[in-house]
Amino acid sequence: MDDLGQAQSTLGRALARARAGEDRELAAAVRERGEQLAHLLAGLLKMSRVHAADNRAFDAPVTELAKAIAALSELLGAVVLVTVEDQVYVNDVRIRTEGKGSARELGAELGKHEVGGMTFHAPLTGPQVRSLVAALAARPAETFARAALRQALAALGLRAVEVEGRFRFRTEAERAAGAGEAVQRGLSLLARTWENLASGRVLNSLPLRRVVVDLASAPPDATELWEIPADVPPHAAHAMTVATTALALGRAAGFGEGALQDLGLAALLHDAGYAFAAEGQAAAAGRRHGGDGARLLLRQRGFHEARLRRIRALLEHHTDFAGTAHPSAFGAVLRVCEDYASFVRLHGARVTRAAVLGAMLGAAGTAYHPALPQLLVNALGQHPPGTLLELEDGRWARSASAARNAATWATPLARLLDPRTRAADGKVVDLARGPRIRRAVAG
Amino acid sequence: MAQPGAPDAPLTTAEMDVAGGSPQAQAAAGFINALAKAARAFVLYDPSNALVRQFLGDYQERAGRALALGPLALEVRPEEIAAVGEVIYREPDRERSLAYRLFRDGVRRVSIEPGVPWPELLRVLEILAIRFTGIRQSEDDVVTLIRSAGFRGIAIEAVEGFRLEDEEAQGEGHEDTSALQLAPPPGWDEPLPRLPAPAALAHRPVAAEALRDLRAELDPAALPATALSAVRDLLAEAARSGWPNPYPELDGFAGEVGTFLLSEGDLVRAKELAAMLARGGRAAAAAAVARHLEDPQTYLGLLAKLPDDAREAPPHLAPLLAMVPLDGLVDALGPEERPARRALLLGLVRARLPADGAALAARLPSAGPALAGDLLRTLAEGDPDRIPAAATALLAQPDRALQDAALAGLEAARCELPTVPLARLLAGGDEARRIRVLDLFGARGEPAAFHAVERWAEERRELSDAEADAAGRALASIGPIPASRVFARWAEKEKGLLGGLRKSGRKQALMRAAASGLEVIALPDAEARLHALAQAADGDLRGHCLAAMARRRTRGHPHG
Repeated sequence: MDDLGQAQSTLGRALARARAGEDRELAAAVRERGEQLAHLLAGLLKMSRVHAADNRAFDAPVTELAKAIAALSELLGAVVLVTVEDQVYVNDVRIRTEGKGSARELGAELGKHEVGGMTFHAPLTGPQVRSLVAALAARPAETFARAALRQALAALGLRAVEVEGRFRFRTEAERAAGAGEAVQRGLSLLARTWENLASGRVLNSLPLRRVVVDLASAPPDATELWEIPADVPPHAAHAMTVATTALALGRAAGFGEGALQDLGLAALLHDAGYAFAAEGQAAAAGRRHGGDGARLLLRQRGFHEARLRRIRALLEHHTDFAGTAHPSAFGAVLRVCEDYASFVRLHGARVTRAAVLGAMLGAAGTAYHPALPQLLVNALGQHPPGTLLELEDGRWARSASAARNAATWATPLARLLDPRTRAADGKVVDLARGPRIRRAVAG
Repeated sequence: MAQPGAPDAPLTTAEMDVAGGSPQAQAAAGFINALAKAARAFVLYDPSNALVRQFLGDYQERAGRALALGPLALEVRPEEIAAVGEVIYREPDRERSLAYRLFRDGVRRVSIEPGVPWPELLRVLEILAIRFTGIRQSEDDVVTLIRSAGFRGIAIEAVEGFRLEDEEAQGEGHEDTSALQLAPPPGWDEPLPRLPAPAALAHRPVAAEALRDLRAELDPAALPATALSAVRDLLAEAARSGWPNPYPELDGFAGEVGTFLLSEGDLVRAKELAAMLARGGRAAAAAAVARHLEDPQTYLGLLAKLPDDAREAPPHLAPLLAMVPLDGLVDALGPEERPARRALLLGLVRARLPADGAALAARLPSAGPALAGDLLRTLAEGDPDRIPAAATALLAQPDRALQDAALAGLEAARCELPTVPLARLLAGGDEARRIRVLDLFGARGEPAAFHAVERWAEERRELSDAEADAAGRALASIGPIPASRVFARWAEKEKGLLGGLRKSGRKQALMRAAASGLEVIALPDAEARLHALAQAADGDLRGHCLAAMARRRTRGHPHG
């Protein structure tokens, strides 16, 4: 077969694989209902210019809008409507605004209140839809219009509606600057994802994948990857730690970019099974959360290799390597990364991170894949991120980067701590340039 | 004339006329337009379509031409793409626009190096084609797909998602604090494993061999095995944790894996999947996969991946295509117009013969003429004994095209001829068909046809020269000795007053038939009789006799 014949064959195969993974039904339903939502809301706002809020002309579109929101809530959980520039998105599905309805004007209508989008956390009743339209159609406050609208909605009892500021496409410079932003976005998404999954909704994986793309493209010296705020839910912090650790380990293992994306996503979701557990079933949930997580992922439809690997990873992320059957590649990576994160989370006050890794080395080939603990040591460095360090000059710091290369493996970037409170003071030093490390301390 | 949308078709609205622009801009415009057309082609055509091949060829050629001038830097805007400061692509229709697809997913700049390998250019096309066909919207977008491709010669600058314009000013971000209430149960992820005493850390290189198993699993070629393992793991977990049965999500997943395995041509694993589901007590899912395995469309769908000009199925698909029932193949042949694909399908039909000969023959009368002809020829190759009956059934159809198809089938077959229905065709009004029947009788030397041909020739009110020639040849081939007697009778001078007149009509035709028969007959006195016939004839008939003698000598028959 010549070049072109080979190309036809390759593309045909790729498209067939992709088509096998398409959840046409869900995408079509979101697009259809999303269009209804955007067009009806924009239409109602337009009508408000000529009719009073109690006019019967509103009845039918209000009913339809309530139905559209209810249907989308059923499919997606939180329904996120975003207007950006002249485009409208519903949960990342672009809504066609060309040539019909008035959705194209929706951005301008919301913009009067300094609002760029809104999230519907629950279905709305007809009267609630009327109230929402009335609030949006009202004259905007001259200052802090969005805050005023938010207060108005709260006063109307519309707590299920959350308004967001105006959006714009991000620039490349902002993306490059912000591994920390990706972490924040990921933490927020994780919390929302757990809520959705616990409510029986389908996983929306694309926003999480975008987070992983940002995490994976962060440079090795991006300290923000390892500095997770203390005030986030423990499960979200844990998932983010496992994800950044898994990405470092996966890269060290030579995984390709596509596999890294899939691995990062699996890591963010690896404990999602806990969201499935009913109250009072903690013990059972602990034993079953891998399977429960897989059940949550089974709600997604459409064949996709990433989904396959996610499901196996969730099922096997507590499986011993030397058990009756080896875990999958992602399962093996997550086993190592999660155990490391859990030891640090539970025992980090008493043992150093290096000691945790040193102990894990001894379980290579039994609990863990034979090569992965050493590879994790290589990836995280002599003083893994978060290690409390006493420097030779008497100052204290916490390591703030994974290993950047073999030469600086034992000398990470570190964030200096306030000598009295041991809180981070904001300054990062490169310990490869000194001062030297006197000792690593648990805590 | 170029087909609409074909690479050589006239400019569309999207294609900028950059004839006055720099050579770089012109080459870049050619490249981008070829890329856009090729990507859209997958929406319109099957990947194996010949037109897709043309688009690919055009894309490859124009990429080479553009990159020969140096690196290509493309700036992506909502409705247009620019290079070297000039707009080279503009498409205001966003549903059709390559620029908008890229922009929407966050791509702002694309840089391509001159030495970029063809597989990378192909992967870009694949990514765009996937997005143009509107699939996998929930798992990937252009940016995640391009980032995951790990290109070396192609780089993108992209933005992901949106950000609030004034979040700093308002002191608010994306954080959704209402969603932070969920938490795992106490003691989650415990107990942790018991670990030995810590060892000292050191940076030690890990050999690639130690990671071979992990990397191999992530190879795309391992996906079918991974898919099957996922179902196996899920079934084990379902049994261990008492999942509901039936469980629509699990059954649906297993069905998707089955579809995937079959689309990969992996029948062995597809059957294993069905067996695994049955063993796991998932009767509904097992039945669904089994139904899929029995559905001809499942297997016929595999053919869509083959290039248009493939005349044979690749060996790895052979066992799968052998699962398609004969009726499925015949149904697929009906609307199929591509010659190579017809040949491929007919080859699959041929492989079912003679076992499915009766079933194939039964499909003939209800098939269209073209298909019936092809099927009869195939039947003739694989189960020739069935041809007489099958052709008789077709010849009995009032549709003349079907009758022609039967004739074609009989011409292709080495089998006994259905003399009676064929002889009936000699009474019809189509000279060409009559000649075909006569030639067929002659070619097969069908004894039962001798008298039918003799009687027909003598009773026919008018015989054209071609018919007379064919009748003579047929009789000579079927039975040289009785034919010799018949030709002698036909060559006799008519007695009586009207003999001379009659010679100019039917008699003339019979004499010509005799001459044509004598030309090919392998009897020693044939030339002498031809000579005598020439002496007795005049005008055209005499010329015909002399020419027949000459041709006979050329062929090496004895001079007599």
